[in-house]
Amino acid sequence: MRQPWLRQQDIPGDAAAPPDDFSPRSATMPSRRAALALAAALLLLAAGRSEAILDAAYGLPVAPGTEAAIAAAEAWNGALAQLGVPDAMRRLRGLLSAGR
Amino acid sequence: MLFPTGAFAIFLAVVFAGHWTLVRVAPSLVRHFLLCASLAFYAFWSASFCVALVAVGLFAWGIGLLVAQGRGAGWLRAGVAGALAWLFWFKYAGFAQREVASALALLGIDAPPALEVLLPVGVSFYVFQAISYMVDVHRGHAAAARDPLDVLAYLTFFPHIAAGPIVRAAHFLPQLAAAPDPRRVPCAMALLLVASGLFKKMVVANELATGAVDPVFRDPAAHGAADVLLAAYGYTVQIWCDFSGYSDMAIGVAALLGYHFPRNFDQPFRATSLAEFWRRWHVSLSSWLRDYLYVPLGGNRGGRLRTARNLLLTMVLGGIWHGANWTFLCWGVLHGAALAAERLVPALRDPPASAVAAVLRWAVTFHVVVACFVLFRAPDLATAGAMAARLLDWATPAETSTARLVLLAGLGIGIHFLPGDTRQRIERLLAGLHPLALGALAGCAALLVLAAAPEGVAPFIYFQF
Repeated sequence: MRQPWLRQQDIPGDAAAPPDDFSPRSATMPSRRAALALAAALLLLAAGRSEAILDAAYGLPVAPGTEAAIAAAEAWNGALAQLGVPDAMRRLRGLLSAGR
Repeated sequence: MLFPTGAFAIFLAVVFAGHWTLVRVAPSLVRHFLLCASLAFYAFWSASFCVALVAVGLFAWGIGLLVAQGRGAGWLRAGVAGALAWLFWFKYAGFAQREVASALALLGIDAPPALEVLLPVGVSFYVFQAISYMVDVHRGHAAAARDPLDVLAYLTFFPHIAAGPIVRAAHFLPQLAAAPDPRRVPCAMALLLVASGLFKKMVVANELATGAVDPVFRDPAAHGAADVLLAAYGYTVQIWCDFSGYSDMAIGVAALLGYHFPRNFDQPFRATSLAEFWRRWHVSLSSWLRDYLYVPLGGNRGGRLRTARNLLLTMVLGGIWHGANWTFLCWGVLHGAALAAERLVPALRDPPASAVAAVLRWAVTFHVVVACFVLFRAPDLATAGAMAARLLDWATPAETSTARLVLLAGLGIGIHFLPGDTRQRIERLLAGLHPLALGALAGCAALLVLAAAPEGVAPFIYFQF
């Protein structure tokens, strides 16, 4: 079937196939709302990984824009450090690494 | 570019925004955009591989047109042979050169300098899809694309280019024919799939690989039975989490862009027979082998012995597809023999008569799968033999078997016994959330996964195939 969430079952599915994760009952939303959800997820990830982003920026090859990228990464990490986010992530990492 | 990296997160954000903007303002450009994005994704590994990928796509498109014009079977055979020759060159040229060099050395002749053949990422998957396209056109299951852009966008689509799922032309081309509906994006299930794939890959697969599996397979003689057992169970869970985790993320990313891939894994370790296992494991490949190899060989027509032969042949070919190594051949032979035995012995084929029989059948099936995966993972038969021999050594103290790793392996097996619709139940809980709350939940889940995972991102196992 074509995109099951569109409720257009115009292509026969494989009868032997396992049950699918998607169906005509799957919850959907307009793409603009999905963009909001994705943006929120990526923003949180960028906040929690600010130190990794800074490391990645320091590892960029010398090229136009690299300095600006490093400055932006430093500013982002600095702002989050003032909020204590990198410390909290380090503590979380230590907690979840127990027994390793 | 690997899925669980910052580079991919940025890439996905750009592609998501560009794709849905084009769907609204210029839907005729969506396929162009997807092709460019997919080639950019693939070029992160090697730009020259992109040329090869496009060449295979154009070849399949041309053969499709010829087949559709009624020039049928001859062109189809040439097309399939051409695609397979491409695959075999990359998979077996190195092996063939080594074998020829060894044979020449026995005769005292110096071998010519070896040609280094690099395996393009995902070559099996795009070749299988090219074959699927040509055969589906021949069988009338898919219409031949007039525009090469359709075939190229189908073969190169970035969520499945590196390691599947193998999506049939008949399933995907109609999705490209009309731009996806921007009013209906299955965002909750897509994010759930991405988060569950991240967890399986980053937390379970990576940690089992570095802690329990790799050290033991590198040197079985240095480990006792407890470590070897954990490595065997651990690899079984690792390869499932690695591959199904990748598939989950691929299916979720495709769904975020409005495209559907079918489910690729369906709790395979709860199977009570090998036949059932193969209906649940890597479904897109096992159904591909069924439709394009097993059925043309004769399938289950022609009696039980012929069916058993076809099963054995299909699994042996499936085994050596993984690479030029005796371990893969033995893996295929064992699976094929077990499937054939199930066909030939009614007691193994019929549903279990009682709960006790079902548990016994499950235990036997699961351990056949585990034993086969030891062969699959071992670099050579000697290592697999050494692993088996170490099972008798209970005197050597356990080194790698920590409670955390045992729990992770147990979790990987235990997940299989959750209700089959667990994801749908979670999706229903998420469905009423505001998009910002849904995104925040997904972001927190991803951060938790990254905090619990070992440092670094190991490549996915199936990238090498």
